[in-house]
Amino acid sequence: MRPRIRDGEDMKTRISALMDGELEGHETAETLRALRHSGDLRSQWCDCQLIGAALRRERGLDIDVAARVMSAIDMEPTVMAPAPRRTLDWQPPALALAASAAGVAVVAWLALVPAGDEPTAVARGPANAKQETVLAQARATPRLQEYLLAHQAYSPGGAIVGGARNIRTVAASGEGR
Amino acid sequence: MAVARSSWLALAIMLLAPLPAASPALAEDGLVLLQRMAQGSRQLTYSGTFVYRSSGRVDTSRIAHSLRDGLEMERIEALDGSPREVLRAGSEVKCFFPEEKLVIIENRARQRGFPSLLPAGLGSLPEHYVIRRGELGRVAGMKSRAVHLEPRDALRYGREFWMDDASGLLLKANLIDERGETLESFAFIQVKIGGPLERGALTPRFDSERVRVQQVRATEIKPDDMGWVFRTVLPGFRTVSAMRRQTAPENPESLHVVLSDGLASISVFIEPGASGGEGEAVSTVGPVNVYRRQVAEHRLMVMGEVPALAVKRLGDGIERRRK
Repeated sequence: MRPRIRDGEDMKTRISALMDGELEGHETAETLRALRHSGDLRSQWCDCQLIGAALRRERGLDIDVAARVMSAIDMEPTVMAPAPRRTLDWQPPALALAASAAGVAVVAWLALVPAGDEPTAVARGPANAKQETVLAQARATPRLQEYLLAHQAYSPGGAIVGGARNIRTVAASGEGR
Repeated sequence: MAVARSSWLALAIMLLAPLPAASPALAEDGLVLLQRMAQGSRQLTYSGTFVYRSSGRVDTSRIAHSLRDGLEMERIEALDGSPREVLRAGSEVKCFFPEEKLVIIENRARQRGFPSLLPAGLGSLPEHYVIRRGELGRVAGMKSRAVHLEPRDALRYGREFWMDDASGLLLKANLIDERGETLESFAFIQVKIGGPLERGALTPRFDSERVRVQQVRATEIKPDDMGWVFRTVLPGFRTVSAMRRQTAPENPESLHVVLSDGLASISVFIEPGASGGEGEAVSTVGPVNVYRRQVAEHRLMVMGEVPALAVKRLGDGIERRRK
Protein backbone atom coordinates (compact mmCIF):
# COMPACT_ATOMS: atom_id res chain seq x y z
CA MET A 1 0.00 0.00 0.00
CA ARG A 2 1.56 3.26 -1.07
CA PRO A 3 1.28 6.31 1.14
CA ARG A 4 -1.23 8.88 0.08
CA ILE A 5 -0.01 11.29 -2.47
CA ARG A 6 1.35 14.63 -1.29
CA ASP A 7 3.93 17.13 -2.42
CA GLY A 8 7.46 16.29 -1.46
CA GLU A 9 9.47 13.12 -1.46
CA ASP A 10 6.48 10.81 -1.71
CA MET A 11 5.46 12.54 -4.85
CA LYS A 12 8.93 12.20 -6.27
CA THR A 13 8.84 8.51 -5.55
CA ARG A 14 5.46 8.41 -7.18
CA ILE A 15 6.74 10.09 -10.30
CA SER A 16 9.61 7.64 -10.51
CA ALA A 17 7.20 4.78 -10.05
CA LEU A 18 4.99 6.22 -12.75
CA MET A 19 7.94 6.33 -15.08
CA ASP A 20 8.76 2.76 -14.27
CA GLY A 21 5.21 1.70 -14.95
CA GLU A 22 4.88 0.45 -11.41
CA LEU A 23 1.72 2.29 -10.43
CA GLU A 24 -1.76 0.86 -10.34
CA GLY A 25 -4.31 2.42 -12.65
CA HIS A 26 -5.93 4.66 -10.07
CA GLU A 27 -2.53 5.71 -8.72
CA THR A 28 -1.45 6.66 -12.20
CA ALA A 29 -4.52 8.81 -12.65
CA GLU A 30 -4.01 10.44 -9.28
CA THR A 31 -0.35 11.18 -9.98
CA LEU A 32 -1.09 12.66 -13.36
CA ARG A 33 -3.80 14.81 -11.84
CA ALA A 34 -1.38 16.11 -9.24
CA LEU A 35 1.16 16.77 -11.96
CA ARG A 36 -1.23 18.95 -13.88
CA HIS A 37 -1.86 21.11 -10.86
CA SER A 38 1.65 21.82 -9.65
CA GLY A 39 4.40 23.62 -11.50
CA ASP A 40 7.10 22.18 -9.26
CA LEU A 41 5.89 18.69 -9.76
CA ARG A 42 5.80 19.23 -13.45
CA SER A 43 9.43 20.17 -13.54
CA GLN A 44 10.20 16.94 -11.73
CA TRP A 45 8.05 15.09 -14.15
CA CYS A 46 10.00 16.71 -16.91
CA ASP A 47 13.27 15.46 -15.52
CA CYS A 48 11.75 12.06 -15.13
CA GLN A 49 10.73 12.12 -18.72
CA LEU A 50 14.34 12.57 -19.70
CA ILE A 51 15.16 9.42 -17.87
CA GLY A 52 12.17 7.71 -19.28
CA ALA A 53 13.18 8.60 -22.80
CA ALA A 54 16.61 7.24 -22.14
CA LEU A 55 15.23 4.10 -20.63
CA ARG A 56 13.31 3.55 -23.77
CA ARG A 57 16.52 4.13 -25.69
CA GLU A 58 15.08 7.03 -27.51
CA ARG A 59 17.28 9.67 -28.95
CA GLY A 60 17.82 13.12 -27.66
CA LEU A 61 18.56 12.97 -23.98
CA ASP A 62 18.91 16.69 -24.11
CA ILE A 63 17.34 20.04 -23.61
CA ASP A 64 15.29 19.70 -26.76
CA VAL A 65 13.42 16.79 -25.37
CA ALA A 66 12.82 18.56 -22.13
CA ALA A 67 11.45 21.59 -23.93
CA ARG A 68 9.26 19.45 -26.08
CA VAL A 69 7.94 17.55 -23.14
CA MET A 70 7.32 20.80 -21.34
CA SER A 71 5.41 22.30 -24.19
CA ALA A 72 3.47 19.10 -24.63
CA ILE A 73 2.46 19.32 -21.01
CA ASP A 74 1.70 23.00 -21.36
CA MET A 75 -0.61 22.31 -24.26
CA GLU A 76 -2.47 19.68 -22.32
CA PRO A 77 -5.97 21.11 -22.08
CA THR A 78 -6.35 20.07 -18.47
CA VAL A 79 -3.44 22.21 -17.36
CA MET A 80 -4.85 25.01 -15.25
CA ALA A 81 -2.12 27.59 -15.70
CA PRO A 82 0.72 27.70 -18.18
CA ALA A 83 3.93 26.74 -16.47
CA PRO A 84 6.85 29.11 -16.87
CA ARG A 85 9.22 27.62 -19.38
CA ARG A 86 12.22 26.35 -17.57
CA THR A 87 15.58 26.20 -19.28
CA LEU A 88 17.50 23.14 -18.33
CA ASP A 89 21.00 24.28 -17.74
CA TRP A 90 23.63 21.68 -17.36
CA GLN A 91 23.38 20.44 -13.84
CA PRO A 92 25.78 18.46 -11.79
CA PRO A 93 24.48 14.94 -11.92
CA ALA A 94 24.13 14.22 -8.27
CA LEU A 95 25.74 16.60 -5.93
CA ALA A 96 23.43 15.36 -3.28
CA LEU A 97 24.77 11.88 -3.59
CA ALA A 98 28.25 13.18 -3.64
CA ALA A 99 27.70 14.69 -0.25
CA SER A 100 28.18 11.36 1.35
CA ALA A 101 31.31 10.84 -0.55
CA ALA A 102 32.47 14.24 0.37
CA GLY A 103 32.44 13.72 4.02
CA VAL A 104 33.89 10.32 3.76
CA ALA A 105 36.80 11.27 1.65
CA VAL A 106 37.67 14.01 4.00
CA VAL A 107 37.92 11.66 6.86
CA ALA A 108 40.22 9.39 5.04
CA TRP A 109 42.78 12.01 4.41
CA LEU A 110 42.81 13.20 7.96
CA ALA A 111 45.03 10.33 8.76
CA LEU A 112 47.72 11.81 6.58
CA VAL A 113 48.13 14.70 8.92
CA PRO A 114 47.22 14.54 12.58
CA ALA A 115 44.08 16.35 13.50
CA GLY A 116 45.82 19.43 14.81
CA ASP A 117 46.98 21.88 12.26
CA GLU A 118 50.59 21.40 13.31
CA PRO A 119 52.39 19.40 10.70
CA THR A 120 54.06 17.11 13.20
CA ALA A 121 54.35 13.37 13.50
CA VAL A 122 53.44 12.96 9.93
CA ALA A 123 56.12 10.61 8.81
CA ARG A 124 55.40 7.53 10.81
CA GLY A 125 54.75 3.94 10.07
CA PRO A 126 56.09 1.89 7.22
CA ALA A 127 55.98 3.73 3.96
CA ASN A 128 56.52 2.62 0.44
CA ALA A 129 57.75 5.07 -2.15
CA LYS A 130 54.29 6.29 -2.96
CA GLN A 131 53.39 6.95 0.62
CA GLU A 132 56.58 8.85 1.13
CA THR A 133 55.56 11.23 -1.58
CA VAL A 134 52.23 11.65 0.08
CA LEU A 135 53.73 12.27 3.47
CA ALA A 136 56.21 14.77 2.17
CA GLN A 137 53.35 16.54 0.53
CA ALA A 138 51.28 16.49 3.66
CA ARG A 139 54.12 17.90 5.71
CA ALA A 140 54.50 20.79 3.32
CA THR A 141 50.87 21.80 3.64
CA PRO A 142 48.83 20.53 6.53
CA ARG A 143 45.75 21.77 4.76
CA LEU A 144 46.15 19.31 1.92
CA GLN A 145 44.20 16.63 3.71
CA GLU A 146 41.41 19.04 4.49
CA TYR A 147 41.23 20.04 0.86
CA LEU A 148 41.32 16.47 -0.33
CA LEU A 149 38.38 15.77 1.89
CA ALA A 150 36.48 18.78 0.63
CA HIS A 151 37.24 17.80 -2.93
CA GLN A 152 35.79 14.36 -2.42
CA ALA A 153 32.78 15.73 -0.66
CA TYR A 154 31.83 17.98 -3.49
CA SER A 155 32.67 15.73 -6.41
CA PRO A 156 29.60 15.27 -8.55
CA GLY A 157 30.88 11.99 -9.91
CA GLY A 158 29.71 10.61 -6.64
CA ALA A 159 26.28 10.58 -8.14
CA ILE A 160 27.10 7.48 -10.02
CA VAL A 161 29.58 5.98 -7.72
CA GLY A 162 27.48 6.72 -4.69
CA GLY A 163 28.89 5.06 -1.65
CA ALA A 164 32.03 4.14 -3.48
CA ARG A 165 33.42 7.58 -2.89
CA ASN A 166 32.84 7.52 0.79
CA ILE A 167 34.55 4.27 0.64
CA ARG A 168 37.59 5.97 -0.68
CA THR A 169 37.50 8.37 2.21
CA VAL A 170 37.22 5.73 4.81
CA ALA A 171 39.89 3.66 3.23
CA ALA A 172 42.27 6.53 2.74
CA SER A 173 41.96 7.65 6.31
CA GLY A 174 43.99 4.66 7.30
CA GLU A 175 46.89 5.69 5.14
CA GLY A 176 50.20 6.68 6.59
CA ARG A 177 49.73 4.77 9.77
CA MET B 1 6.01 -4.75 -14.63
CA ALA B 2 2.61 -5.26 -16.14
CA VAL B 3 2.57 -5.17 -19.90
CA ALA B 4 -0.61 -3.13 -20.06
CA ARG B 5 0.78 -0.44 -17.84
CA SER B 6 4.06 -0.05 -19.66
CA SER B 7 2.39 0.14 -23.03
CA TRP B 8 0.03 2.73 -21.63
CA LEU B 9 3.04 4.67 -20.49
CA ALA B 10 4.82 4.29 -23.79
CA LEU B 11 1.74 5.66 -25.48
CA ALA B 12 1.57 8.58 -23.09
CA ILE B 13 5.17 9.41 -23.79
CA MET B 14 4.69 9.26 -27.51
CA LEU B 15 1.79 11.64 -27.21
CA LEU B 16 3.61 14.02 -24.94
CA ALA B 17 6.91 14.05 -26.72
CA PRO B 18 7.00 13.05 -30.34
CA LEU B 19 10.60 12.07 -30.77
CA PRO B 20 12.47 11.56 -34.01
CA ALA B 21 12.90 7.92 -34.82
CA ALA B 22 16.48 6.87 -34.37
CA SER B 23 18.43 3.69 -34.08
CA PRO B 24 19.47 3.07 -30.52
CA ALA B 25 23.11 3.97 -30.23
CA LEU B 26 25.49 2.03 -28.06
CA ALA B 27 26.40 5.09 -26.07
CA GLU B 28 22.82 5.67 -25.06
CA ASP B 29 22.52 2.10 -24.08
CA GLY B 30 25.44 2.50 -21.71
CA LEU B 31 24.06 5.84 -20.57
CA VAL B 32 20.81 4.22 -19.57
CA LEU B 33 22.74 1.81 -17.40
CA LEU B 34 24.63 4.68 -15.81
CA GLN B 35 21.37 6.42 -15.05
CA ARG B 36 19.97 3.32 -13.43
CA MET B 37 23.11 3.10 -11.38
CA ALA B 38 22.91 6.73 -10.28
CA GLN B 39 19.33 6.23 -9.17
CA GLY B 40 20.04 2.90 -7.54
CA SER B 41 22.83 4.19 -5.38
CA ARG B 42 20.53 6.84 -3.99
CA GLN B 43 17.22 5.10 -3.71
CA LEU B 44 18.03 1.56 -2.70
CA THR B 45 18.36 0.22 0.78
CA TYR B 46 21.41 -1.96 1.05
CA SER B 47 24.09 -3.17 3.39
CA GLY B 48 27.26 -5.09 2.86
CA THR B 49 31.02 -5.33 2.96
CA PHE B 50 33.30 -3.96 0.32
CA VAL B 51 36.97 -3.89 -0.48
CA TYR B 52 38.76 -0.74 -1.57
CA ARG B 53 42.12 -1.06 -3.31
CA SER B 54 44.48 1.76 -4.28
CA SER B 55 48.25 2.16 -4.51
CA GLY B 56 48.85 -1.37 -3.30
CA ARG B 57 46.66 -0.94 -0.22
CA VAL B 58 43.59 -3.00 0.48
CA ASP B 59 40.94 -1.90 2.97
CA THR B 60 37.72 -3.55 3.97
CA SER B 61 34.73 -1.55 5.13
CA ARG B 62 31.13 -2.08 5.99
CA ILE B 63 28.34 0.04 4.54
CA ALA B 64 24.65 0.51 5.20
CA HIS B 65 22.45 2.84 3.17
CA SER B 66 18.80 3.74 3.07
CA LEU B 67 16.42 6.39 1.82
CA ARG B 68 13.78 7.11 4.43
CA ASP B 69 11.16 9.83 4.06
CA GLY B 70 13.31 11.39 1.38
CA LEU B 71 16.38 11.52 3.61
CA GLU B 72 19.41 9.54 2.59
CA MET B 73 21.14 7.85 5.48
CA GLU B 74 24.46 6.14 5.20
CA ARG B 75 27.08 4.71 7.48
CA ILE B 76 30.50 3.46 6.50
CA GLU B 77 32.85 1.86 8.96
CA ALA B 78 36.42 0.83 8.31
CA LEU B 79 37.13 -2.74 9.38
CA ASP B 80 40.91 -2.65 8.96
CA GLY B 81 43.46 -0.51 10.75
CA SER B 82 42.47 2.33 13.02
CA PRO B 83 38.74 2.73 13.57
CA ARG B 84 37.06 5.33 11.39
CA GLU B 85 33.43 5.92 10.72
CA VAL B 86 31.48 8.18 8.41
CA LEU B 87 27.86 8.92 8.97
CA ARG B 88 25.67 10.82 6.58
CA ALA B 89 22.15 12.09 7.03
CA GLY B 90 21.00 14.04 4.03
CA SER B 91 23.39 16.91 3.54
CA GLU B 92 25.25 16.52 6.80
CA VAL B 93 28.34 14.36 6.93
CA LYS B 94 30.02 13.44 10.19
CA CYS B 95 33.39 11.78 10.27
CA PHE B 96 34.42 10.08 13.50
CA PHE B 97 38.05 9.53 14.41
CA PRO B 98 37.83 7.91 17.81
CA GLU B 99 41.59 7.61 18.25
CA GLU B 100 42.08 11.31 17.62
CA LYS B 101 38.90 12.09 19.57
CA LEU B 102 37.79 14.14 16.64
CA VAL B 103 34.53 14.59 14.80
CA ILE B 104 34.45 16.59 11.60
CA ILE B 105 31.10 17.87 10.46
CA GLU B 106 30.58 19.10 6.96
CA ASN B 107 27.20 20.47 6.07
CA ARG B 108 26.78 21.17 2.44
CA ALA B 109 26.31 24.79 1.57
CA ARG B 110 23.36 24.03 -0.62
CA GLN B 111 21.63 20.80 -1.13
CA ARG B 112 20.23 20.16 -4.52
CA GLY B 113 16.98 18.34 -4.58
CA PHE B 114 15.68 15.49 -6.56
CA PRO B 115 15.67 16.87 -10.09
CA SER B 116 19.37 17.62 -10.15
CA LEU B 117 20.06 14.01 -9.39
CA LEU B 118 18.69 13.25 -12.72
CA PRO B 119 20.87 12.79 -15.66
CA ALA B 120 20.77 16.16 -17.34
CA GLY B 121 24.47 16.22 -16.60
CA LEU B 122 25.12 12.70 -17.74
CA GLY B 123 23.74 13.48 -21.16
CA SER B 124 26.99 15.08 -22.27
CA LEU B 125 29.15 12.15 -21.17
CA PRO B 126 29.19 10.50 -24.62
CA GLU B 127 31.01 13.56 -25.96
CA HIS B 128 33.96 12.80 -23.73
CA TYR B 129 33.80 9.06 -23.20
CA VAL B 130 33.15 6.09 -25.42
CA ILE B 131 30.48 4.31 -23.41
CA ARG B 132 30.05 0.63 -23.99
CA ARG B 133 27.58 -1.76 -22.48
CA GLY B 134 29.68 -4.69 -21.33
CA GLU B 135 29.25 -8.34 -20.61
CA LEU B 136 27.24 -10.05 -17.93
CA GLY B 137 29.27 -11.37 -15.04
CA ARG B 138 29.17 -12.01 -11.34
CA VAL B 139 30.21 -9.71 -8.51
CA ALA B 140 29.61 -10.61 -4.87
CA GLY B 141 27.50 -13.51 -6.02
CA MET B 142 25.12 -11.27 -7.95
CA LYS B 143 24.46 -11.30 -11.64
CA SER B 144 25.99 -8.06 -12.84
CA ARG B 145 26.27 -6.02 -16.00
CA ALA B 146 29.47 -4.20 -16.96
CA VAL B 147 29.65 -0.68 -18.41
CA HIS B 148 32.95 0.56 -19.85
CA LEU B 149 33.87 4.21 -20.31
CA GLU B 150 36.91 5.02 -22.34
CA PRO B 151 38.07 8.66 -22.39
CA ARG B 152 38.13 10.41 -25.77
CA ASP B 153 41.07 12.62 -24.75
CA ALA B 154 43.96 12.70 -22.31
CA LEU B 155 42.19 14.91 -19.77
CA ARG B 156 40.32 12.15 -17.95
CA TYR B 157 40.63 8.54 -16.90
CA GLY B 158 38.63 5.54 -17.95
CA ARG B 159 36.06 3.75 -15.80
CA GLU B 160 34.63 0.31 -15.50
CA PHE B 161 31.43 -0.24 -13.59
CA TRP B 162 29.52 -3.37 -12.71
CA MET B 163 25.96 -3.02 -11.58
CA ASP B 164 23.46 -5.45 -10.17
CA ASP B 165 21.37 -6.46 -13.14
CA ALA B 166 18.15 -6.56 -11.13
CA SER B 167 18.32 -3.41 -8.98
CA GLY B 168 20.91 -1.19 -10.63
CA LEU B 169 23.12 -0.99 -7.54
CA LEU B 170 26.77 -0.36 -8.32
CA LEU B 171 28.70 -3.43 -7.20
CA LYS B 172 32.17 -2.75 -8.50
CA ALA B 173 34.03 0.25 -9.92
CA ASN B 174 37.51 0.65 -11.38
CA LEU B 175 39.40 3.79 -12.30
CA ILE B 176 41.73 3.14 -15.25
CA ASP B 177 44.70 5.29 -16.22
CA GLU B 178 46.08 6.01 -19.69
CA ARG B 179 48.25 2.87 -19.63
CA GLY B 180 45.30 0.66 -18.79
CA GLU B 181 46.39 0.22 -15.18
CA THR B 182 43.78 0.21 -12.44
CA LEU B 183 44.37 3.20 -10.19
CA GLU B 184 41.71 2.33 -7.69
CA SER B 185 39.04 -0.24 -7.35
CA PHE B 186 36.14 -0.82 -5.08
CA ALA B 187 34.02 -3.94 -5.02
CA PHE B 188 31.39 -5.44 -2.81
CA ILE B 189 32.35 -8.86 -1.52
CA GLN B 190 28.99 -9.34 0.14
CA VAL B 191 25.84 -7.27 -0.22
CA LYS B 192 22.20 -7.44 0.74
CA ILE B 193 19.90 -5.30 -1.37
CA GLY B 194 16.54 -4.27 0.01
CA GLY B 195 15.43 -3.68 3.56
CA PRO B 196 14.99 -3.80 6.36
CA LEU B 197 18.46 -3.03 7.65
CA GLU B 198 19.68 -4.61 10.84
CA ARG B 199 18.82 -2.68 13.97
CA GLY B 200 21.44 -0.03 14.61
CA ALA B 201 22.97 -0.35 11.17
CA LEU B 202 22.84 3.42 10.79
CA THR B 203 23.73 4.34 14.38
CA PRO B 204 27.24 5.63 15.07
CA ARG B 205 29.32 3.24 17.14
CA PHE B 206 31.56 5.89 18.57
CA ASP B 207 30.15 8.27 21.09
CA SER B 208 30.52 11.92 20.30
CA GLU B 209 31.12 13.10 23.85
CA ARG B 210 34.46 14.50 24.96
CA VAL B 211 35.61 14.88 21.39
CA ARG B 212 36.74 17.87 19.45
CA VAL B 213 34.20 18.94 16.88
CA GLN B 214 35.40 20.65 13.76
CA GLN B 215 32.58 22.22 11.84
CA VAL B 216 33.33 23.26 8.29
CA ARG B 217 31.48 26.30 7.05
CA ALA B 218 30.92 26.65 3.32
CA THR B 219 29.00 29.45 1.62
CA GLU B 220 28.02 29.25 -2.00
CA ILE B 221 29.05 32.25 -4.12
CA LYS B 222 28.53 33.24 -7.73
CA PRO B 223 31.47 32.30 -9.96
CA ASP B 224 31.52 35.92 -11.15
CA ASP B 225 32.11 37.16 -7.64
CA MET B 226 35.13 35.13 -6.82
CA GLY B 227 37.72 37.55 -8.17
CA TRP B 228 39.54 34.95 -10.26
CA VAL B 229 39.28 33.91 -13.87
CA PHE B 230 39.97 30.54 -15.43
CA ARG B 231 41.61 31.27 -18.76
CA THR B 232 41.97 27.66 -19.78
CA VAL B 233 38.84 25.74 -20.60
CA LEU B 234 39.18 21.99 -20.28
CA PRO B 235 36.77 20.46 -22.79
CA GLY B 236 33.70 19.07 -21.05
CA PHE B 237 34.54 20.41 -17.60
CA ARG B 238 32.10 22.96 -16.26
CA THR B 239 31.98 24.83 -13.00
CA VAL B 240 29.40 23.14 -10.84
CA SER B 241 30.01 24.92 -7.59
CA ALA B 242 31.94 27.84 -6.15
CA MET B 243 32.11 28.54 -2.44
CA ARG B 244 34.05 30.15 0.35
CA ARG B 245 34.99 27.73 3.07
CA GLN B 246 36.38 28.07 6.54
CA THR B 247 37.28 25.32 8.98
CA ALA B 248 37.64 27.46 12.07
CA PRO B 249 37.14 31.17 12.84
CA GLU B 250 40.90 31.68 13.25
CA ASN B 251 41.68 30.18 9.85
CA PRO B 252 41.60 32.31 6.71
CA GLU B 253 38.79 31.72 4.28
CA SER B 254 39.65 29.92 1.12
CA LEU B 255 37.92 29.66 -2.19
CA HIS B 256 36.77 26.28 -3.47
CA VAL B 257 35.65 25.85 -7.08
CA VAL B 258 34.47 22.47 -8.36
CA LEU B 259 34.51 21.56 -12.03
CA SER B 260 33.15 18.36 -13.48
CA ASP B 261 32.58 16.60 -16.76
CA GLY B 262 29.74 14.66 -15.16
CA LEU B 263 31.98 11.90 -13.92
CA ALA B 264 35.47 13.16 -13.16
CA SER B 265 35.84 16.25 -11.03
CA ILE B 266 38.51 18.80 -10.30
CA SER B 267 38.68 21.07 -7.28
CA VAL B 268 40.50 24.38 -7.22
CA PHE B 269 41.44 25.84 -3.85
CA ILE B 270 42.76 29.36 -3.53
CA GLU B 271 43.96 30.64 -0.18
CA PRO B 272 45.82 33.77 0.84
CA GLY B 273 49.42 33.12 1.78
CA ALA B 274 52.99 33.56 0.69
CA SER B 275 54.90 30.87 -1.07
CA GLY B 276 56.49 28.27 1.16
CA GLY B 277 59.51 28.35 -1.12
CA GLU B 278 58.54 25.33 -3.16
CA GLY B 279 57.88 25.87 -6.85
CA GLU B 280 55.14 24.55 -9.04
CA ALA B 281 54.69 20.83 -8.66
CA VAL B 282 52.35 17.96 -9.36
CA SER B 283 52.15 15.20 -6.78
CA THR B 284 49.83 12.26 -6.29
CA VAL B 285 47.75 11.06 -3.38
CA GLY B 286 46.22 7.71 -4.22
CA PRO B 287 44.40 8.23 -7.50
CA VAL B 288 44.30 12.01 -7.06
CA ASN B 289 46.75 14.35 -8.79
CA VAL B 290 47.52 17.61 -7.00
CA TYR B 291 49.05 20.64 -8.71
CA ARG B 292 50.28 23.56 -6.66
CA ARG B 293 51.17 26.99 -7.80
CA GLN B 294 51.77 30.40 -6.30
CA VAL B 295 50.02 33.42 -7.81
CA ALA B 296 51.17 36.64 -6.17
CA GLU B 297 49.98 36.46 -2.55
CA HIS B 298 47.85 33.40 -3.08
CA ARG B 299 48.43 29.68 -3.02
CA LEU B 300 46.58 27.62 -5.60
CA MET B 301 45.90 23.95 -5.25
CA VAL B 302 44.24 22.09 -8.11
CA MET B 303 43.32 18.46 -7.53
CA GLY B 304 41.25 15.71 -8.99
CA GLU B 305 41.10 12.07 -9.99
CA VAL B 306 42.23 13.11 -13.47
CA PRO B 307 45.60 12.88 -15.27
CA ALA B 308 48.33 15.30 -14.16
CA LEU B 309 48.01 17.06 -17.50
CA ALA B 310 44.48 18.19 -16.66
CA VAL B 311 45.21 19.70 -13.24
CA LYS B 312 48.34 21.41 -14.55
CA ARG B 313 46.66 22.86 -17.61
CA LEU B 314 43.74 24.19 -15.62
CA GLY B 315 45.97 25.54 -12.85
CA ASP B 316 48.28 27.38 -15.24
CA GLY B 317 45.33 29.29 -16.67
CA ILE B 318 44.08 30.75 -13.39
CA GLU B 319 44.56 34.49 -12.92
CA ARG B 320 43.34 37.25 -10.70
CA ARG B 321 40.50 39.16 -12.21
CA ARG B 322 41.52 42.69 -13.15
CA LYS B 323 39.39 45.33 -11.56
